[in-house]
Amino acid sequence: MFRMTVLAGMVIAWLIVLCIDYQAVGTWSNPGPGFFPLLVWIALAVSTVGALFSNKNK
Amino acid sequence: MTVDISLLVLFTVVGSFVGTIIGMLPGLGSAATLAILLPLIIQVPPLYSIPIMAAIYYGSQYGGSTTSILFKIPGEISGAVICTDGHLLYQQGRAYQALKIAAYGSFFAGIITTAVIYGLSHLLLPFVTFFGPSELFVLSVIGLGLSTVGMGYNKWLVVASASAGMLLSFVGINDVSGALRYSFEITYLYDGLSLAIIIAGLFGGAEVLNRILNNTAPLIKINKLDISSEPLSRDEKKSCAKSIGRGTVTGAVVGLIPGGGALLASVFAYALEKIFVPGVGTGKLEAVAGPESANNAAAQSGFVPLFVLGIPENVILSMIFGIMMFHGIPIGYGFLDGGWLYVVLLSMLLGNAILLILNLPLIRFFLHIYQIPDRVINILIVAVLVVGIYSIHQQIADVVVLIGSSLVGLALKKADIPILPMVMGFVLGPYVEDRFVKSMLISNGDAGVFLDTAVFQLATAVMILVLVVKIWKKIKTTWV
Repeated sequence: MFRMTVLAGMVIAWLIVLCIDYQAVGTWSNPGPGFFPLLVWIALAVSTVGALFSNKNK
Repeated sequence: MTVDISLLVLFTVVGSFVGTIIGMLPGLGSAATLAILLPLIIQVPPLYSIPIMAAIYYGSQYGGSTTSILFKIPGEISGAVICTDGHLLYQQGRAYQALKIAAYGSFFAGIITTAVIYGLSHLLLPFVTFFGPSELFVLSVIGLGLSTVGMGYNKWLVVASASAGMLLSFVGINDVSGALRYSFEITYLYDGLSLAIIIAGLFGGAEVLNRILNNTAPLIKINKLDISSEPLSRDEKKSCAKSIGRGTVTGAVVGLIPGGGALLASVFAYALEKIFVPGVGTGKLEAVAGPESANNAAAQSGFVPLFVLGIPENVILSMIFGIMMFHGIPIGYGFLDGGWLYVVLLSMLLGNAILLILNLPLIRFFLHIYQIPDRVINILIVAVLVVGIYSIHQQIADVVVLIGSSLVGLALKKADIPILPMVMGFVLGPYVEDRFVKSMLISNGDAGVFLDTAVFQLATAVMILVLVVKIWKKIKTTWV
């Protein structure tokens, strides 16, 4: 439970940071300064959901 | 480039000394200690920063064997492999022989691997031109994943931790676009979060807070220690020499593989000794000689991919990479042609010789560290951390960030979320992004450019092979 709170906290905190200090995302052929951080945030969010449904403890 | 040999010797001696002590202290790993010392190391002149960090790293491998042999408690995780045979030798009254063979094995492996680093770096250098941004991006991501795979963590947690670390590294001015990101117009954040402070907090600060809260340090008594110096027999010398040779080769090869590292190398070497030497597990010198040589060889050969391609294979090498980038030390041709490699290799030769002296004649002196109460060590660590951080820019804000990152690290530790990937993500974040953006610009937005790289195809082939072997094993156990 504590683990999921920490993970969810990181996801939400970074979502707020990405929204407040918005950086242009751009396109695949011309990525803006917000492109890669957005991809990494998606990886963080997806892996948090993955960890939620994963039953392996460690 | 002018090298002051006396300074090089000084920093190598300090690194070897600190590394040996760290290796001997159970519970405080070399990664956490490097993190604690990072604020001080960052102030060392660039030329001597890699030698001191490297000496701490391989010095801890030397020292780690001492606690494994004498107390059956591995100071370093890679020393766990020799606990059984090493401690049995101690119980048989052959502790000094075991320590001696461990030190000689580590020394031999260290010297040979130094030559391997020189040879392989030059051999691999012509291939550097085949590695464009997309290849380096794939290699960095694979390296990041593989470096944590052996620790048995949940893969989702590894990805989450690495992603969170990367996001932290994006704060400040972006090198590619020049944009000021996620700094909320706070001047302190314009240059980004300091590598030394964040790593020292996440890793070192969290570790010391955990030690203070849990008070988990094992109680070690040295009053029963008996170290005799009976010489090895001719047959034992011959057999141990073979084990050292096997261990060195195993370690040098395993160290080159991303995620390989000292632990895996010593596990492989121990398995090899089981095949070649009967009676391993009952107190055999060979079972100490092989794994000890292997872990030291692996600790050093891991530097090859770092120097040639800028790919750190584990968290310690990623900290060294971070320091290299901080000081603008080049990688690839620049590192080899600029004379950096020779300074590092010279320091490795020196360091291994110094460690031999530290770990044999001075072993009795080092054993006194077990008499220092744990709370004194904790206070010392906190003092080093705070003074080290404050001395970088002389501002309290750095100490506040240190406390904040230490608390975050402690929360991650309590939640059982691995911190290693976060540290690696934080160090590698800007370079992974740089390589990604360049790949996208070159390929005109074709994300398939990563799938076309030989590195990706090779990794896919290996994964398929591993999968096939696993399925075959499952079928065999179910049906046969």
